[in-house]
Amino acid sequence: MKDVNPATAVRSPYKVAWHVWTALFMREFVSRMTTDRFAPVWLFLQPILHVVILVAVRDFIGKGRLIPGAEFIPWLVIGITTFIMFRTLWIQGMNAIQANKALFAYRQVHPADTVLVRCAMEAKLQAFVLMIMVFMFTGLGFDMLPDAPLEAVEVLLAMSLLGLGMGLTTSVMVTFFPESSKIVNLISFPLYLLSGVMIPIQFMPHGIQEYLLYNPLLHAVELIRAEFFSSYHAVQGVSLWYVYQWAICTVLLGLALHVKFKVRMVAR
Amino acid sequence: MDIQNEPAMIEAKDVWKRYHGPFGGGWVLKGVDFKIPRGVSVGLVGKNGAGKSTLLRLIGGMDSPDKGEIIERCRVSWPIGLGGGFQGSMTGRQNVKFVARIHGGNADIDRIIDEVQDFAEIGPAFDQPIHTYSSGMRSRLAFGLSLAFNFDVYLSDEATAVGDVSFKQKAKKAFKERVGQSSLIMVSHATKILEDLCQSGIWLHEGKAIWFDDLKDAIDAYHDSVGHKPKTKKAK
Repeated sequence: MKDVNPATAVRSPYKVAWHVWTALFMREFVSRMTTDRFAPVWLFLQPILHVVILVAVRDFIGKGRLIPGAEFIPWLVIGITTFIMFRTLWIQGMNAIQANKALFAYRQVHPADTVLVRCAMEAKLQAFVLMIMVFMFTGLGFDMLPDAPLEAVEVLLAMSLLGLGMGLTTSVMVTFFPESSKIVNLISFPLYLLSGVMIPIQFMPHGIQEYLLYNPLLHAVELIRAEFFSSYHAVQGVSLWYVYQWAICTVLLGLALHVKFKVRMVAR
Repeated sequence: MDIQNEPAMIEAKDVWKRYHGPFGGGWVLKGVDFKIPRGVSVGLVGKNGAGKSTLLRLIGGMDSPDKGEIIERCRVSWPIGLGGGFQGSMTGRQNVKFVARIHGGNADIDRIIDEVQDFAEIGPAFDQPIHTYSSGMRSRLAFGLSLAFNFDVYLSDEATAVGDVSFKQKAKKAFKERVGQSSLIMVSHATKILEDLCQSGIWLHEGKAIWFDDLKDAIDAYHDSVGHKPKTKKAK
């Protein structure tokens, strides 16, 4: 009889999915690190430069530097880094299908796999970036160490899930309407302002705050600051559960869209 | 084992497929029916745009029919073709590793790499990005890669068309060695290689599939339909 090759013997569906994820993970990591000679440096330098420039700008303007219960620069750094984490997951997840199109020739690889794996990898990288930021600014003499580290991780987890959900959902949209990626890039800038990354929302009138609180990113950005600086007075009415609700809804919506349009996405 | 009573290896039941283009789309396959018995290699012939590649994609599981179904009672490879399956920015080695991993071959990844390198014979280009390859090199790599796994059926979409003489000899030899274990479903416009590797034929004509037990009949029918005198007849 024919000898059974372990490489093609029948595997359970879970095992197949696991094999695809490991393979994709390694591939994504290599391509992220070798897109050009500068890539691994740029990965860490980009958020750091981003922070440094914003800090410089805010320092230069010097207005509204009084943050209730927290030092200004650590307050800004942690907010920006968390926001960038979300945005990177979202944008990278959104573009995952386009970047891995050639791989759908193999029937094991589903479009959703590429988004999931890319977001998981990006979350790990961004967590690493965040740690570097914390150590760097602590080394510079700022009070950057989290007062409630585990709770901070919980907020970051919610933020990553939300990024994954948005990535999953918009990745389907972008596959069918490539124009929509422009809109996504366009709205990510106002989101930056509306999420209280640069401007403390506490100083805004209550009537406006009420509307701004519909944005889950504001909740997450405020919460992570509250976990880092225990004396910080976060905006009234923020809740982690609200962020998780958004995260769960977008993830489920994204997965449902992937199930519905899987065949049409692969066939493209 | 009774060949007669054994269920067909691949069975297409009234398969319909259409594509939605920007200006509407017509049906490519209009009720395709056939049964491929175990161990029989099949050549697919038909005009450009007759739906040969579409049918291969359906058999390869890359796409699903709008109506009808395809039943597979065997392990089928991905369609080995000129285009898909490789990411251009990655090296040949990285692509091979990826495919080995998704097929669960992480343990014997070195064996697979050796086998592919052996078959493809592309030398140092194996560590160059795929987009620097010529089409012949790509198809060498693609063919070698699929042969490193034991599929029951290999799907080839014009993969041999751009190969040189030595590559065609190699491909032929590889499949001759696997007679009785694996078979081939092949799209090609080169009659010679079809005759070398396949026994039966399917002629795709106007959205229907017509089965021929003998490949020669399929090729003749196809050539007659386009009003072309085949060389094989002249030689007689």
